[in-house]
Amino acid sequence: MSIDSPPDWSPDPDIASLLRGEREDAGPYAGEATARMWKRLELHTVAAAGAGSLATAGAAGGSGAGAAGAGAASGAKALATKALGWKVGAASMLLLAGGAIGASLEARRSPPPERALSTVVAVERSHGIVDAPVVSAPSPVATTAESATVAVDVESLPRVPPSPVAVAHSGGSSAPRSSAVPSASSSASLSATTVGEEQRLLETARAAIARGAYSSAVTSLTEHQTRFPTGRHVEERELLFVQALAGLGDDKAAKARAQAFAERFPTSILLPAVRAVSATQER
Amino acid sequence: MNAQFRALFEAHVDYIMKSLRRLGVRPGDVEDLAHEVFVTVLRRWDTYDPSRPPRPWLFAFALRMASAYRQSAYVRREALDKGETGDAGERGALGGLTTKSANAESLLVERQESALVYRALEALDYDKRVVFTMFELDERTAADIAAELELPQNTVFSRLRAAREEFTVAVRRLSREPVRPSRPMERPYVD
Repeated sequence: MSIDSPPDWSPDPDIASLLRGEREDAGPYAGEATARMWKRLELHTVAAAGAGSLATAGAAGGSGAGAAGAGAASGAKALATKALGWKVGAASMLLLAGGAIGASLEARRSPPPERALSTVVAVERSHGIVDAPVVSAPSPVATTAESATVAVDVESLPRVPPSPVAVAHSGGSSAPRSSAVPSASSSASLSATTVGEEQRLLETARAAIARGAYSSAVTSLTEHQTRFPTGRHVEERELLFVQALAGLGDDKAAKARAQAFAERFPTSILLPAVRAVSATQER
Repeated sequence: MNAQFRALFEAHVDYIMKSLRRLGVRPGDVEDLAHEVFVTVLRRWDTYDPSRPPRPWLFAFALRMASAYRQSAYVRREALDKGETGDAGERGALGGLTTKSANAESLLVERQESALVYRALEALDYDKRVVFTMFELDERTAADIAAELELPQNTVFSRLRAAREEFTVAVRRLSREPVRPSRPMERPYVD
């Protein structure tokens, strides 16, 4: 065998035909997925741009180009959510879409993914804010929009007004999320629905972070921010935001967001957790 | 720039999804990972060179994503096996990975022949699978593959040889008779 030419192969006709078919096939997803996926990408870039612009206030320094595979580690853990968040918010958020890609490009940063991932894991371990990854989610891979909704069923969530308490309840406990079996509740008042919607977005984001699906998380959190700018769970949202941004490798945005958190909620019970994320990043 | 990215996306999103499948990403995860691939592409847009063919460049993103995906799956399984998570029942991560994600909806859209190819590819270990995909399906040159994977060319050749044999055996085993395109195979993944 020459070193320059690959080994000869004369596959049987059926194998050859199979391979030819696979080469020439436009793909099982041709057409159908394209529009949907583009919309999702647009939403993501809107989300990233939103997160970036909110966070850049007070953040200094230029942006660096990082490892080529930056998104790989985080993205690869993004095991199948049908991203309820981006579907729900689609209509309103698309209005913001103009120029979003450009904006997010300016905000791009990509430090090595390993560090970003370990950051989040470390925070999870030391503070127990985010659920133990993987196992606590009902079925991480097959989590469809439907099952995600079930997992964070409005009625099953505690109606505790101040967000820190709610966080402590939903995330601080070591009980697996799947144990939060929906229980019937009679009153479905409008405010309860809103609270539930708020919670649902946060739970979606939390579950996404636990899976490493940081961009999905950012999308949910941005939707939360758009719809509930002064909601009951702003602090929790901001913590998740910091974690998600750190997970994406956007250290600058994460740090700025953490900084803003400290200024806005200096006495928050979540502040240590927020600080822990940026502290881990600095290492 | 925006338009350029969009054009690239539209022209190649299917290719990326197919590549992810070929590299072992399960049907239910393909769309999410493809999304992440393009998010990363956008983040690394400064490395885009319009004068060069886009597919190899895009494939590199998909390859990294698929590799990390595999690793994450293995990490999860190991963690579960060790019982570290305390709740390592059958509904653990890998249980989800191996069964749930191969959901019916995704499978229905896959061509029968593609499904056979993907199943046969499952028989190859990952290194061989990558080489086989790049050489036989993407028709890239051995030199190109060697450069991309940072391997000696001879290693590429030996993996390719082994992969071809194993692929053929797997197709034989899976189909038991020569495949004719007009004849539907039995439905894949239905255990």
